[in-house]
Amino acid sequence: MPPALLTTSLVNTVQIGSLYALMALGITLTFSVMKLPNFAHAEYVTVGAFAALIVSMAGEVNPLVIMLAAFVVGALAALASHVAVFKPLEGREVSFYTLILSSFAVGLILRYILFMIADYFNLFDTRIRIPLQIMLREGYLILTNIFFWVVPSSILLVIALTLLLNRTPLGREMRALANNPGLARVIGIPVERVKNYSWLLVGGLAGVAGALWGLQTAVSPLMGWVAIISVFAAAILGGLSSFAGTILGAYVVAFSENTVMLFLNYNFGLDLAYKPAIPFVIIIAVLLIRPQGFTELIKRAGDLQR
Amino acid sequence: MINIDIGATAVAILTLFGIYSLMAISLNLEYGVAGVPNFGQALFVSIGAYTAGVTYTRILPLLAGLESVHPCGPTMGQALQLRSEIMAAQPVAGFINLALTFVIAAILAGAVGFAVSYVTLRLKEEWFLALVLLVGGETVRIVVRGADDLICSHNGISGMAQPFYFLGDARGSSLLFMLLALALALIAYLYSQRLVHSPFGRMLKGLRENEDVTRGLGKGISLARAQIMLIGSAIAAVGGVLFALNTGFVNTNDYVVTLTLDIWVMVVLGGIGNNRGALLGAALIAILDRFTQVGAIALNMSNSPIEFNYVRFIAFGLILLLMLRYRPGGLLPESPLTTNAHDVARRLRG
Amino acid sequence: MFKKLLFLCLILVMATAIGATSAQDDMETYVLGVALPFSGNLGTFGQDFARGVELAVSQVNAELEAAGSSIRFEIASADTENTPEGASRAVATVVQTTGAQVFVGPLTTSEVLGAKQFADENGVVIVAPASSGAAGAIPGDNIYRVIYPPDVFASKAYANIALERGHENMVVLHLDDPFGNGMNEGFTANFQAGGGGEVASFAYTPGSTELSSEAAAVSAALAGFGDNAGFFCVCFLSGAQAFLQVAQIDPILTSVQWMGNEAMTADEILADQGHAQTLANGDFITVSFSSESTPLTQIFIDDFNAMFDKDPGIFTNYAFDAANIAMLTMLAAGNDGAAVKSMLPFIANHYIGTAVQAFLDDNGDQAIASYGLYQVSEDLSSFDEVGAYNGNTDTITYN
Repeated sequence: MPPALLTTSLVNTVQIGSLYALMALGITLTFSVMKLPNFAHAEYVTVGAFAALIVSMAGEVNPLVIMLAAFVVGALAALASHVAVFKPLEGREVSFYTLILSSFAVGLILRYILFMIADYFNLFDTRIRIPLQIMLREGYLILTNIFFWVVPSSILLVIALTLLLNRTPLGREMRALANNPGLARVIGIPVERVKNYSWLLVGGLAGVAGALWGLQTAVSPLMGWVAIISVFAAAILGGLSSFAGTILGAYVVAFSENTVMLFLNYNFGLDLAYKPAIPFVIIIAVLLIRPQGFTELIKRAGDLQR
Repeated sequence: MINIDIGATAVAILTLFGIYSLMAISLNLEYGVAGVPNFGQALFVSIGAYTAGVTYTRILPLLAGLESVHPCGPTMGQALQLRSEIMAAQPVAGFINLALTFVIAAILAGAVGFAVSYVTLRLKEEWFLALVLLVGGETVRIVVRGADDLICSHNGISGMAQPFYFLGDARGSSLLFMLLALALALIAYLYSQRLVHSPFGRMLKGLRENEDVTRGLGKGISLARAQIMLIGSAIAAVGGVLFALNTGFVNTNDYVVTLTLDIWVMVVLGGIGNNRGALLGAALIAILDRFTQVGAIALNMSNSPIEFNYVRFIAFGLILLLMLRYRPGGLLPESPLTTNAHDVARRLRG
Repeated sequence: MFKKLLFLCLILVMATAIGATSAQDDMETYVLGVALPFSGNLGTFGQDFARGVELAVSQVNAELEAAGSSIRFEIASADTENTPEGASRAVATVVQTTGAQVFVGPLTTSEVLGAKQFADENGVVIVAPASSGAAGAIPGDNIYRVIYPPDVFASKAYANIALERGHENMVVLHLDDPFGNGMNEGFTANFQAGGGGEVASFAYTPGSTELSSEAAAVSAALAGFGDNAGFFCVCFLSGAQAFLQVAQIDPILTSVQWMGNEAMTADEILADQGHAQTLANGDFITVSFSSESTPLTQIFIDDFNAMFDKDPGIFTNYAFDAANIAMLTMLAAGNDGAAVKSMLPFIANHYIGTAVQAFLDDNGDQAIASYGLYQVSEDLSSFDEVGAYNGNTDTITYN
C-alpha cells in the first residue's frame, strides 16, 4: 500500500470515525438508559443536517451557529419521538421487537417528512456552502478546514458528555437509571425528567453529527439511513453499554471501511463495491465471537454499566 | 380520472396476499411459535427468487430440449428470447421447471435456515440473533450483487414469465397465478396449523416461553429450533419464487431490509403466535399498500403542491404506530393452546 | 381503532374517485401514466422528471383546448420506490386504477425491467425517457426508450476522447448498477480496442453519501499509472458531489484530466465554487446527449422556468420529450395500448424534441446518437458546448 494512500485513508478514518462516534454514543445512551435499540436515530442525524442546511442558506453563517441549530432541532425531534411514541409504549409490557418496529416506523415518518420538505423547498442534493480550504499540508498529509471542524467538535462533545455523565447530578441519575431502573425509581430519582434530558442529549448529539456530516457531503433525506448500520456496528463493538468502547468501536469501523478496505482493494483486488458489507461482517463477527465488544477491555472511563 | 378495474385490482391484491401470506406464516412459525427472531426474512425470500433466476436460465432450456444460452453478457438478449419462447410454447417444460424451482428453493433455503440456527446458538442474547440475521441477509445480497454469473450481478434476470403465460391472455393467466399463490398459501397455513397443535408445536411454544423449563423436560432445544428454521425458511423461499415470478424479474435490489420489515409488520399487526393473525396481517399489508397508492394517485390528480407519494409512507408509519400502541398483541392475539387433556380437565371441573 | 382508520381511508379514496370522475362528462380524458422513483435515493430525478411531464401535459392540453378538441390528458403518477418490484406494482396500480395504457418512466434500467412483464402481458406501453443500460435492449417488447440513446455510443465517445487526449491508461469510478457497469465495460472494451492500455475501475454503491475511500483508491491507481493517465467518473449527481468534495484537495486528482457523464453537469455542481474549479482545472469534458441543436431547447427551458420558477434539472427535457411522443401517439392512435405500440415508432421517428430527433432501432431504442461535448466555462458559471460527437459515424468534431 503506497504511503499516500495509507495517509489519506488514516485521515479519513479519523474524520469519519469521529462522526460515527458522535452518532453511536447516542445509540449506546438510548440503549443503556431507555433499553431501546433506536433505529430512528438515523433520522435525528438527517433532521440535524437539514436544520444546518436551512440555517446556512441565510448567508454567511458561523459554523458554530449552524451546529447549534442542528443540536436544537435534533434534540426536539428525539424528544418528540419519545413523548409521542416510546414513552406510551413503556408501560405496556410490549415485546422488544415491537419497540424495534416502532423505532423503524418513527424513522420512516421522519424520513418522509424530510422528503416532503426537500421536495417543497427544492433542497435535494443541496450542499451546506462552506468552502473547503487546505489548512495543513505536510508531505502526504493534507488536512482541511472541515477536518478541523469535525474532529475537534466531535472530541469536545464526547469529552463534554463523559464529564456530564461522571461529574454532574444528571449524569449520576442517568447512570443509575441505566444500571437499575427499578432501584433508581425507588431511591427517588425523577425518572421521567432524567429520560427527557437523555433524549434531548441523544437527539442533539445526533443533530450536530448530521450538521458535520452535511459539511462533507450533500444533504439528502436518506443520509442518516445510509450511515445507520455502520453506526450500529460501532455501538455493538462497544457492547451497547460502554462509552469508551463505543468510541473505540466507531474508529474501528471507520478504520475497516477506509484503511482495511483500501488495503484489501489495493493488495488483493477486492472490489470496492463490497465496502457496504464491512460493517455487517464486523457486527456478525463481534456478536458471534465476542458479544461483550470492547467492554472488558475498557473498564475505566465512561462505562455506563460500572 | 379514477376508473378502478375492480376485477384486476382484486386479482393483484389477492396474488400479493397469497405471496405475503407465505412469508408471514414462515415468520410466524419462526418467531411467533419458536421464538427465533428472524430479521433476515429477505434473505430466505431471496434464495427462492435467485433459485428461480437460475432454473429459468439453466434448467428450463434443457427441459425444453434446447441448448441453454449463457444468460449474462453479450448473449443476454438471446437468452431472454429463448426463455420467453419456451414459456409461450412449451407449458409442460414450464411447469416441470416451476415444480423443480419450488423444490430446489425449499431445500436450499431450508438448509441455510438449519445451518444458521446452529451457528447462532453461540449468541449470548436473543436479539443478537435478530441483528446477525438482518446484516447477514444484506451481506449475502451484496455478494450476490457482485457475483457475475449467478443472476448476472446488478443486471438481474428479466423476462421470467408466469407459468400460465402460454395462455396468451393476461387476465386469465394472472387469475390462475393468483389461484396458485392462494393454494400454496392455504397449504402452508394448514400445515403450520397442524404443526402448532402437534406436540412438537407445543414444545416449541414452551421453548419460547421458558427455555430452562423445556430443557429440564429433556427436550432437544437446538434441534427443535433448527427444525423450525428449516421449515420456516423453506416456506419463505416458496414465497420468494412466487414473488419473483409475479414481477418476472429477479434483481438483488428487491431483497432489502424494508422487505423484512414489511413481513414483520404483517406478523405483528395480525397477532404474533397466531397463524390466522399472520394471514390477516398479510391481507392488511396487501390492501393497505394498494389503498395508499390509489389514494396517492387520486390526491396527486387534485394538483395540490404536496407530493402524496411521500404522505403514503407517513400514513403507513402512523398506522403501524397506532396499532403497536393500541393493539400491541395484534388484531388477533394468540389464544392459549389447548389439548384433549385440557378439555377433559375442564369437563371434570364441571 | 384500526378498522375505523381503514374505513376512513376507504371513504377518502372513494370520495376522491367519485369527485374526480363526475367532472366534465362531455370531455374525453386520456390518462398518461407516470411511474418514477419519488422515494429512494433518486427522488431528485423522479420529481424533476415528473415536472417535465407536467409541463408537456399542460402545453398539449392548452393546444387541445384552443383547437376545440374534446380530448384532455391527465397524469396518474405512482412511486416505483426505486426498486424493480416497486416499479411493477406502481405500473400495475396505475393501470388498474385509472385504465392508463401508456406510461412515461420508469427511470433506471432495472426499474424498467421490473415493469416489463406487466407491460408486455397487459399490452401497456412504456416510454422510458432515460434508461440506457444494455440489459434493456430487447426487440419486440412494449418498452420504448425513445430519446436517450443506449450507452454503447457514449462509451465509445469517451474511449475516443481518452485516446485522443493521449491517455495510456485510465482509471474509472462508476456506479455499481446496470448503467455504471455497462458504461464501464463499454468504455474499457473500446479504449483497449483503440490501442489504450490498462483500465483500473472502481465501483461505488448507489446512494453512498461519502466517497473518500473511493477517491483515495482512484488517486492511488492514477499515481500507480504515472503520467498520461486519465480519470473517468460515471456517477449520479449525489455521488459526483461526494467525490468532488474529497477530490478537490487530492494532489493527484487535481493534476490529471477528467471525463465524466452527463449527470455531472448539473447546476448543483457549479453551485459549489470548489467543485466547479476542480472540474475546470481537470479539463473536464462530458459527452452529453442534450446538444443545443433544436429550436425547442430554449423554449422548453423558458416554459419550464415560467411554470416552476426554476431551471429544469439535468435530463428533465427527456421526460418532456417522452411525454410528448406518448401523447402525440395517443392522439393519433387513440387511448389503446396495442394501437399505441404499433404506431409509436412512426410518431417518434417524426418527432423533433428538445435534444434531437428520435429514430428508433429494432429494440425500440433511440438510434440517433448525436452528442454535444461540454466543458466548464471560464467564469465557472455554465457548461459550454465545445464540440460534437456523432455516434452513428463515430466522429468527434471540435468547434
